[in-house]
Amino acid sequence: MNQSQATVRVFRGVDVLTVALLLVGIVLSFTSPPDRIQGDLTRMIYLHVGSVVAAYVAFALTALGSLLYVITRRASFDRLAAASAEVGVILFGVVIVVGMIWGQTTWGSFWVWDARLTMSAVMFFVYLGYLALRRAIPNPETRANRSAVLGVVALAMIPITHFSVVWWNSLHQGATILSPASPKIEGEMAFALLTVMLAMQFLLVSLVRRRMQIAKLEDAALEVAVGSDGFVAGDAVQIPQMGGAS
Amino acid sequence: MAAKTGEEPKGETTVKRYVRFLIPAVAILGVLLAVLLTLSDSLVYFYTPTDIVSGQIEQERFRIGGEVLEGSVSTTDAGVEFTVTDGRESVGVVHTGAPQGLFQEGIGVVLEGSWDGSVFRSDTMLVKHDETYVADDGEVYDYEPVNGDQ
Repeated sequence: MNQSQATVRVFRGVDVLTVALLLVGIVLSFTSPPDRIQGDLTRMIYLHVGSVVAAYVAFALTALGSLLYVITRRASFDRLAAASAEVGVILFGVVIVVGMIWGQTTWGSFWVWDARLTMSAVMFFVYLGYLALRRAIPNPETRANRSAVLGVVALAMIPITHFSVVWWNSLHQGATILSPASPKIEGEMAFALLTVMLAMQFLLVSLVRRRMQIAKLEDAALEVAVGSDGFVAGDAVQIPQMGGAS
Repeated sequence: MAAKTGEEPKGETTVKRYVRFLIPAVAILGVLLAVLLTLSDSLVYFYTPTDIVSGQIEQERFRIGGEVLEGSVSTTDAGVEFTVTDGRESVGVVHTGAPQGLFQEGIGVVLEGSWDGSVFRSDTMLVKHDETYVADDGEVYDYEPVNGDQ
């Protein structure tokens, strides 16, 4: 009892920090100086890079959860993998949308098929595929085993996407913060970016933990309702009948 | 919680379980690597002036990228003319159409068009901003020109 109360308190602290850091991050995003060439357009870096780092961490958590599930066979690790994949996909969706707006306003195009954007699209669909795979397998154990394979393998997309700007000539610029050389960003902008990046990490923890709680309740409810066999996605959908449903 | 993982199938050992994980994992990684190696050439978004000068480009229409040389920009009736460099080689560009909003001397550009042996005739321009972010007061960290071959 005491243990779980302590856990609740820790996560409440995470929630409070998430909101506080996000607020500070938003203020800093708009008070940091404009870039000499891009002007105010450069402010899109804060949400774009902040989200992508959190998405990478989320996908890394998916791989970690998958691996730990294979080793320990504990359902909670499978739920960690599933929850962080969902959160990661949403964060990566934000990255793509903000990136497209940034691209249109600076490059002059919403989308180009250069290496970085192509690999980002592939990565997005790989993780959408992961979520689809989870929906397609009714048996919880089979589902956990099979998605663990994809959850670990899909991690390869992160270095491929991240280093695509180094391996191939691309329209997308190289890394600023995560570059091996010293950061090529003015101090105030760097501070704002690091704040937003930190805020997004807290947001990630907060969301994944909530999603895991919901998944646990879902699993328990499902077991009560239909036993451990689960159900097939789309079971509830009725096939259209000639002459109307009976 | 333990109930959710189901009962252990009869006769399945830990080793068997790991093998069942590893075989598809290695197979998928192999396919991924094969796809990447196959796609590698077409993932290059643009060529560099060095590629043009060395005459290794076979396509009629392609993209080149590089930095707009300082002091080379002149406006024409149809568009702009300037020189693009990758730090090693430079080529002259005749661009038809209005330049992008951020177009200026010293910025990176990606142009689509064809090479007629002496100048690159482009009709599509994208501005490639680099990974350096500086304020108006000119505070600069490690500013380096965009190198096409980096």
